[in-house]
Amino acid sequence: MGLLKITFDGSSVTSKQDADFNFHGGDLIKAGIMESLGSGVTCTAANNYINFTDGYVMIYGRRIYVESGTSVYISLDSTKYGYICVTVNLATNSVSLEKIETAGTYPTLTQENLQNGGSKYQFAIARYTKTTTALTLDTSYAPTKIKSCGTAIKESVQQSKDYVDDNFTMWRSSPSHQSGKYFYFPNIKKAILEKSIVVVHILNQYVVVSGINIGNNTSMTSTIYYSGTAQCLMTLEFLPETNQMVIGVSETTHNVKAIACYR
Amino acid sequence: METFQGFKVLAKYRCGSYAFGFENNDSDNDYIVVLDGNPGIIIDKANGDDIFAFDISSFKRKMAFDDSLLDYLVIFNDEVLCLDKSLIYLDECFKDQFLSITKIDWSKSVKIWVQRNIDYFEKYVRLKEFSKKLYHLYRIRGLLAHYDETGKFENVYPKSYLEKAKEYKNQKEVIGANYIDDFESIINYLKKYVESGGDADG
Repeated sequence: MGLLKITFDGSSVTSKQDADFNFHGGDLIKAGIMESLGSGVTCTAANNYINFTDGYVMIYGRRIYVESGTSVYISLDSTKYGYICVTVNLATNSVSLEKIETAGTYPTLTQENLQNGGSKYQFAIARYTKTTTALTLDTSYAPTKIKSCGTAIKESVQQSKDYVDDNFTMWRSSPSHQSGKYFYFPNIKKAILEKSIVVVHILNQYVVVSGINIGNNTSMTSTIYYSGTAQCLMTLEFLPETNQMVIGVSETTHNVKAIACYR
Repeated sequence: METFQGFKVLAKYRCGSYAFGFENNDSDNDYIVVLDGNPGIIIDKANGDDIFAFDISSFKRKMAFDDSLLDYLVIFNDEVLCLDKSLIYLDECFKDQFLSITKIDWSKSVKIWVQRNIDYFEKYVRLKEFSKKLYHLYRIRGLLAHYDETGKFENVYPKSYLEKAKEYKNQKEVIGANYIDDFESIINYLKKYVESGGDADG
């Protein structure tokens, strides 16, 4: 037991040690396609083949290059669900591209912890179904991507901005339409509405309402005085199924121009 | 002397599900209050109760289905059919006027009452927003069925509508899909009722 030089002249480094650092550098993502390297290992299907563009896959820090034009033949001998996997087998020090199929449902893949004693990991880079007459790629399947540090940071910054925008900044909404005495405001999130002070622009006045009181399917009524002492009322209600707020007014001419919500 | 927000209470009665006989453990305690003076309309909570307070002038407008009032404030005017059970307080000096105001000529008002209910409830059905208050659709339909059958506009419902209204209202979680066909059918019936002048079946 002792210290082992790794990044030093003449050092002898194992593939496991190298892979451990790659794994760490790849944000400890178990398996994924290296984003923005090569052509991203995208797939297409034609003539019973699934074809891949080139790119890099990393599984627990083990790097594999998929060459351009790599393809797998799918025999249309039965109806099955399948994956095309890059399979790493440390027991045999091998890597392979294989199809794994089962009837009735997608197969369960072997995914052992290669960093901690496991030897086999199957990483699916494509998913498909087949019948005796057709091969269909599942285009909704998106293999995990391993992003560059810069991309990951930019995305995190954007997520943080979105979070602040979604939860803390002022937002404004105009009615999508008026139907009789009801004005509809679409795309309202209940959780955000409940954190807001809502200012309703009606009858050329700004009426302040507490968002927490505009709950599910219960009407909140607010009173407005205008032209001196004239009184009108409006109801405010959140419709949870369609995520909209509806404001009911006494008269169709009581135009609700907009709402502004402050959090 | 009872007051509400500084105004003398002239009359007070229950409205909502307690008045109509559809209350359950989750029901709100709703009250209509008529106030002396000129406070207009005040909608507020007091001791956990929902209070809908009107001065006399506003109360008259409510009972006359005044078009300048929110649908919400006039669609349950049939609550006056239950006053024999729901009336809590009536000031002697206001008695005659109150009885006069609440004596709605339903033969003339039923169409506008139905129309205001359509205006209010149709959006929930169209958008499939299954609010608990949609039980009123069964109630209204039942009330009209009874009216058609007997010529009496009263808070009495044929058993089928009564049971459906209670079944819908008493659900722990509303499963609207089981009722949407009924609601659409009732809205269509109500529209036909208004168009035909009360002869939707004919």
